[in-house]
Amino acid sequence: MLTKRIIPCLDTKDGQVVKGVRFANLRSLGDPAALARAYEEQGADELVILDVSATPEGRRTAYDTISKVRDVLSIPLTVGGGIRESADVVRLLECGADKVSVNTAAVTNPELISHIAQTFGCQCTVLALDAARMLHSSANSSSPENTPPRWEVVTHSGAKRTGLDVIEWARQAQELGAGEILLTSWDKDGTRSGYDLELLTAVSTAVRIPVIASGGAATPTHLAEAFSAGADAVLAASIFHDGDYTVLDVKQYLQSVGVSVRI
Amino acid sequence: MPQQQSPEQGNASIIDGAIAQQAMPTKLRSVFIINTGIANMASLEASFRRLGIATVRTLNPDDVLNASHVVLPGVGAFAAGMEELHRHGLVDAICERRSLNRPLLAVCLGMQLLCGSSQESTDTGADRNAQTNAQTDAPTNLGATSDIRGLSLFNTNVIRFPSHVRIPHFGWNQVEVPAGAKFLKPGYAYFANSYHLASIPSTTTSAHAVTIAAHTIHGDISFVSAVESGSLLACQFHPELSGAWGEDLIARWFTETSA
Repeated sequence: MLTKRIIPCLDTKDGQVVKGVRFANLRSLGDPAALARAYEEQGADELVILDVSATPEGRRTAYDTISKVRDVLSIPLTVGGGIRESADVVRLLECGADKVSVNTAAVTNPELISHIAQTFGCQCTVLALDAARMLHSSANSSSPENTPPRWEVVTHSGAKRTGLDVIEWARQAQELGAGEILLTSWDKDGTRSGYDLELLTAVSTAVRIPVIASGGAATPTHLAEAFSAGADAVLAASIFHDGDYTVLDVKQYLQSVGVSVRI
Repeated sequence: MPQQQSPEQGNASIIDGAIAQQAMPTKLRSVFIINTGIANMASLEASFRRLGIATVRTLNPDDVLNASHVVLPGVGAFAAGMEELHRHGLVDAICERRSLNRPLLAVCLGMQLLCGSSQESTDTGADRNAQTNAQTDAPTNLGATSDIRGLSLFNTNVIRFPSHVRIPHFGWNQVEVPAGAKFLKPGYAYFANSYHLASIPSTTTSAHAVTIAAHTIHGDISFVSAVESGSLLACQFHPELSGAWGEDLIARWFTETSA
């Protein structure tokens, strides 16, 4: 039986791991290769590296960082941040990435997804989707609890609201060949209050490709909730970076509540 | 001095003796990886590097036939993969290598290329989307015979996962191994596949019978996740991405088949 995946995420900037609260107020947490190796030894199923500063600052992902991580890592590695064209993907794969995630550039140019999928395979193509709840219009404000929530895609590390419907975009990306969706709640990211479960359920029922939950996890319970809401995998940063729980701690808890994990 | 004849030694003998002496130990501990195109070659290479085994990328039929150890990796589409093997004249080299039972590791698409054909190569782009999305039933050309023949070393064909299971089959799943395996041990492996081998007959078209077939279950589908046959190890999963378990498997394949 396919197990549920636990995926630590390293946000990097200038070759160092940083943690974002709403993608701002970054603070350094150390050497990516050392952390990557530690997470694999704890039982991480995959690793994601996101160069959080890549898009707004026009940066390219730190290729050296990826190579150093690959040298010590024998689980899958997804890399995102600043990928705009095939040449970026080729360089990342050559450095040791197994998958690449595209975000802002794919919204601007959806054909980037189909191009990467056709050239490198859908198993290599991850759509990073940052979602934010749409504010209810004044017409609906009298009964907001009766209005089903809607989400819009945000880009440029949260700086830009696009108005693009998250469910429609997720379906479109699937049709274009995305192999997975890394779904981050912009409302929840950095809040340590749990994942946006309504968002997770809405997206995971709208597509058939795997959905990775991201944004807001602080406790093992939050991770269990995400799986109940339909996630195939969970991405988490601060829960692990802060040392409160190891990946193994979390997996043992998940197993105890009936979630199938690799231990 | 190693007794095994290899092309590296042949080449070394015609160059400067000092260089040959220096070069030989490295070359004897090396694996030739067939460079069929852009794949996660770096991950595969890193895996061997951690085991102290050098890697060489090759498209040379002589290497593919004669090197001590060869890897047929694979990421991408079945038809494109076969096209690359034909274009570089590697089909005969791989088949002859197999008939001589020289060590071969086939990974993911590499394993599928060893079969007779794949439904993937009869799928149109739209079919593939339907397959990936799994929102529609099987395409109408389900029974169509593929124009693209695989290497036909395994007497079986590659088929799609049905639409009621999550596709792609992404993540860690259990590999169930029958008794008597030389390389394989039970454990969790990392998969990324939308197509699979439903079964494999216990004989092949080569002289070497398939002795061990490991299975994995996705939803209610049981499929062949690895095959052992003589010095051949074929894996539907990615051993290079399967942590310590995968690295141990690669090491066992390499050492058990090293003369």
